Amino acid sequence: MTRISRVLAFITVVLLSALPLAASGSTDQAEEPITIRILTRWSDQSGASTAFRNRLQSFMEQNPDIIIEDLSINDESSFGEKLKVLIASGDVPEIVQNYGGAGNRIYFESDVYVDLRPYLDDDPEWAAGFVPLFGEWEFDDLPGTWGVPYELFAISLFYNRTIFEEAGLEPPETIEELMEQGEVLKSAGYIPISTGVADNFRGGHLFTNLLIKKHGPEFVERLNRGTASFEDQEVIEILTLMKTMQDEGMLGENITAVNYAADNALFGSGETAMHFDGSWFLSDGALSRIDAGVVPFPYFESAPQNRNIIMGGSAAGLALGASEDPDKLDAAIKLLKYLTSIEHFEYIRDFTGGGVYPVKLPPTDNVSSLTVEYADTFSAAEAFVGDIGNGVPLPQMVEVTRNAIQGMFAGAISPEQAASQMAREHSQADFN
Amino acid sequence: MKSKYAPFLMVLPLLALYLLFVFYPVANAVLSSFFSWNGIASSPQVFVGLRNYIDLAKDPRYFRAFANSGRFIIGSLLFLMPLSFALGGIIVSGVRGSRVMKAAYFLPVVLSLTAISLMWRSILYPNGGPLNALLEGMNLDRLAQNWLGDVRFAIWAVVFVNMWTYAGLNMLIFAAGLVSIPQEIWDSVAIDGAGKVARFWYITLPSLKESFKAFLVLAVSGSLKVFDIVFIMTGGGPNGSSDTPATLLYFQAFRFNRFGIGNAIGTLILLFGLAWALLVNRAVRKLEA
Repeated sequence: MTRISRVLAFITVVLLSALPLAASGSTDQAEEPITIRILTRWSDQSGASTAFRNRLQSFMEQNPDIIIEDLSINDESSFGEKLKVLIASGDVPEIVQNYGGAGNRIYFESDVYVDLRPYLDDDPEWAAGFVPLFGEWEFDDLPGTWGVPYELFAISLFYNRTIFEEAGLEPPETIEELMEQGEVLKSAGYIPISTGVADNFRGGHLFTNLLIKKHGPEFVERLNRGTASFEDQEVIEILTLMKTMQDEGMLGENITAVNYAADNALFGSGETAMHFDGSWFLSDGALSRIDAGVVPFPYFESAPQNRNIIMGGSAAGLALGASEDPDKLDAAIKLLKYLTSIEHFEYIRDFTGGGVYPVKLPPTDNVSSLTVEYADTFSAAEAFVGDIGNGVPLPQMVEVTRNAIQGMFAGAISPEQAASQMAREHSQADFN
Repeated sequence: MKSKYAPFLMVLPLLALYLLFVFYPVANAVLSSFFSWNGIASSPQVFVGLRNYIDLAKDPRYFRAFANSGRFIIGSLLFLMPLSFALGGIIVSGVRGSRVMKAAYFLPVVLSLTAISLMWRSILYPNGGPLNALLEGMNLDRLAQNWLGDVRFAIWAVVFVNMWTYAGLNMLIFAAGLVSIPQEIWDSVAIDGAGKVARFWYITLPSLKESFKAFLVLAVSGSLKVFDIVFIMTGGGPNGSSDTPATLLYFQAFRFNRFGIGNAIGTLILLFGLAWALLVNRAVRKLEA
């Protein structure tokens, strides 16, 4: 045996002898911190997301025995796909942003998430803090509460005050006024209401708003239960109106190539007079560059009874991924309560200077006037309705609806064909 | 003493890795294509026989996706192949600046596909994007289009970007073939007095059989499985008009929870790719015979 071989053999023996010692020694040390993972869409640079991340940091400082691994990703599609990969591999993060609804029911039924009802019942103070917005996570025929609301939203119509004042216009109350004002705004060189559908949810939101304002929540409920079809005249009428709006230049040019960020930029740069959006838009930089106001999404003169039917509700909630490790579950519950506490939302509100939240916050003067205006847009709400398709028991219904609308705007299919495309998918749902 | 098992033992580690990381996932995907699964780890896979394939056969979206692969193949054969061949010829010709040209043509290959896709998405942006601005500046307004948002152009725009990206790589394939033709052959045909056309037809083309074979296999299999450029530039839209089999696979599995259908699409991509490779091999062997 050479000298080098002897040295190597000695080192190997020493290392092997040390391993059991190291292993046994670890039991004497302090307990390892628990690592829990959180997956949300709040990873962008908006005020609300920055405040959210600040709170995660604060939680870790207050709980040094818990480490949070933030897997968040802002893009909606990427978020959804990342989550599905984790679900498929049985590796769901301990806390997940969740939208609830029929599309998520399959996961609730399969116990991918934890039923939060026992935890809410055990902590009445926490439960009582929420505005009653649990509809997306509770089902008549499936016991349990599968998530808690985090974002409250209503789609409202933001408008550029300066443009409207220059044009001598008041923000529209009805769709008919909106269409008339469109001509004035176009001749003044503005896009009336930019609606880029490269991110297909924008077309979906326009569709939902117009459909509920014209035909009310009853028709949406019939679609959800399968007693109405997407090929019904009610749907085709709305799709035709949307196509007319596009053809008349109400929504901007080449809208199939314009994405949400570009839409925001157009509003912030004063190129579009109006922009429909939800509460998350309140903390957007676009609003800081112009004098913006906000009004309810217009209703149809022919359907005044639906004036206070609002597209909105709980935009996003938080759900607990099922974990077999009781320590992780306890840590996740602790974090969940922290992130949905009154104190948490007060911090977010103060940090962003506004916003609306799914908990009963004490009043404050420390919010922007736009937030107050925004809250007014749905103060008279009689019902909140979510995305068309979200209540249909078919995970892909929302996506198919949005794609068909995008195809219609691209000129690939007519409103009737778009309706047929939706109806074909809708017919595959199991409504029993 | 040499053991008769020694060669087998030497390839065993690599074989094990191949079986584990290539054969097993592929076999598992093929097997899963006969099952229905909702993408939840705790849910059982249900055997459905050929139903996933029958569903594919009934749905026009899949034909459209494979037709789009056909467009990538058309682009590769009609434009990318002659372009790459010409570029390969230029860089081995020794003309002045050929080194710079080699680096310039190869540059897209080393760039990230995400960066390339985002760059071209900006260039092709219809409202004031550089391409349309250029066309409008040249009073060619009629040619300015919604390149990625119009179903007539979206897929072709992506095919073009794909060719732009891979021209440099295929250039190298042809350049390698060209430099491997022995100088003695060129000397002898020069003595025989062969003209440029005869040299090209009787020497260059036959000598590049392996290069063409490599190009054809890579181009067609690449066209069948193209994903990233489409996903980033158009997301398969508008309304699925630029979907390829690979994007459809992704959407079916990860957006619609139809993992069985996704695996069936993956299996078809594999089968078409294999069939094409065998066809090309056979054709080349026939030519050699």
